[in-house]
Amino acid sequence: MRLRTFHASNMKQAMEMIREELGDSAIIISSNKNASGKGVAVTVAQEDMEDEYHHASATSPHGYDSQNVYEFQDRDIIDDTHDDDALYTMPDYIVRDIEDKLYRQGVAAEVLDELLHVISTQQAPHDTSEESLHHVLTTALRQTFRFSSIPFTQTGLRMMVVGTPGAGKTLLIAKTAARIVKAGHRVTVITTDYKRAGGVEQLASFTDILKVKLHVANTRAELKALLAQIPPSERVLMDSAGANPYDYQELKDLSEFAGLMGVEPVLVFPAGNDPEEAAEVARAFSFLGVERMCVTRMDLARRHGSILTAAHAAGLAFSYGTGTEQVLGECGDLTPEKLASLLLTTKSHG
Amino acid sequence: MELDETMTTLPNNNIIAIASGKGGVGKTWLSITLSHLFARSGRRALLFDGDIGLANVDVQLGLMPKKDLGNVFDGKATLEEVITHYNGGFDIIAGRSGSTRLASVSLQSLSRIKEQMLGVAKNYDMVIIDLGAGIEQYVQFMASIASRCVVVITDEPTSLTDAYAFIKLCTTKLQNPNIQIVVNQAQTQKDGERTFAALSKACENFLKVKPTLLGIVRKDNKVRDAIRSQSSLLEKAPHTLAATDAALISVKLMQPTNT
Repeated sequence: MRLRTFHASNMKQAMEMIREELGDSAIIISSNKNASGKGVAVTVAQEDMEDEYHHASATSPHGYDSQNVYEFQDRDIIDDTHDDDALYTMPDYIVRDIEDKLYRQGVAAEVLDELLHVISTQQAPHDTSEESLHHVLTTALRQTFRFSSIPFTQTGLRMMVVGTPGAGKTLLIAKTAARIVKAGHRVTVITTDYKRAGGVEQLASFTDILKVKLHVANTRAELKALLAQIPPSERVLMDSAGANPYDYQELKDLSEFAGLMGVEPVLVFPAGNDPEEAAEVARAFSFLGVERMCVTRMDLARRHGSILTAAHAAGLAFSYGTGTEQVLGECGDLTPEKLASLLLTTKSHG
Repeated sequence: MELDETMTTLPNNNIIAIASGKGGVGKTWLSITLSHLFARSGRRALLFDGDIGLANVDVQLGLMPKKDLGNVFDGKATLEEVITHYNGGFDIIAGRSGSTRLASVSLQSLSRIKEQMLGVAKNYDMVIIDLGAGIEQYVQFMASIASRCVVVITDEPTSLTDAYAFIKLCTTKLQNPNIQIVVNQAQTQKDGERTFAALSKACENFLKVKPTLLGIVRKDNKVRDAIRSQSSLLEKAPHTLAATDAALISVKLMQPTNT
């Protein structure tokens, strides 16, 4: 038996090539999309007439019989190696391709399973181009996760960033304030991060440039009083001290501020941690009533499985992503499209 | 005496031949792992290294047997006398790697081996013959001792064509239609099923036989690690992917109906 694999841009063309070169004595034993994603690869088998066992087998009931050469027909195109509904449901190799990419991103097993299940129930794309894979993953992410943008320029914004020390809370406040100012709106910034050495000064260096007023609130009562003075329509951004998610007292202290009526605590979450760790941190902060998360340091991470795992574990919605990577732009809403791009891009070191 | 004469009758015994056609697809690894799994299930298991020219069961297990098949061919020992016990719980008859002399043994020696082999097999519940690669006479002869034959394949085209050649040999010369396929090093279960489907399609169309799928062993780096460290996978990583897949295969082979 001889095997040959034909590469063509489509099945019809492959069939013509096979007929032309091998006639009708070859059978298709498998057909797949090309590894490159473009076109098809069809493997055919042909029994060798000069085979050394040909004479022995000619007399055998199991043997090769030239009268019985199987003639391949067009139905083999559908009946190749997949199920009959292969043309309508998601082909396994696409699911596996995405699985492989998500696995490399460090997506935890339970999230991976859920996403792959959603993907396998989708309709098959027309081809295996990067755009098609991107579309498949985008749709699955939209179905599996919540995405909720924060309307920064909307009036009455009362956002408090919470998170672990060093998550990028202060920088996110600065970036957001700049965005609001750039859009021509007024914004007030309040920080409760008074204990950390330089906590207030760091933020002040940003707000000074933006000519935005910075208030410091040392207690819940002070914050409450400050908020009461600010007109309800004005936008307020609040920075907080980084909290250790494993320290109950720190979380409780933070909740004194974050639990104030009308304040929305938003989790600031750095990309690139260990997925299990990320899930635990997200769960801890979800006790503060956090609903949305902003992902920071996306340019410093090479594996983004942890943010999926965290959002999944704590039921958080993706809202905002920052990082200097081109794919996200400077900073902006973390949409299913952007998340899919991140996950499908394999970056190497250096 | 013709080689064909010794192979005409369909054997009925507890001997399983592990074949592949192509070398390097994981035949010896599967033979060792299955023997080990049989032993762990309380079966008396014997592994016969039938890859005479390039025997390597002992190498994979890091054994230095004092006697091997070479002594039997020399007439200096019986098959029973060269059995080595592996502390994983099963017995081994080692070949002798790199011996060109053994690769060209006489038919008389071969039939003596076969007689002794059938006798020794009675002392065991399960016997596995790790066949050599290729389809030459010696491999054919070894395969003819077994009542059933497991053919190991991978998704490489050369593996498919060589396995096909071996199956063709079994169905025409050996008249042994009891062929079961193990797909080794499969990326996923589904990929393995596809590889089997390709081979099965060729067999059905050209040979009019339908091989059965015995099992799929998924690709697992732990296997390579175990082979490199010259130990059985079950000692190194008993719960890894490949070990779990192999365990399913061993269960199927131990079922009394599976003959």
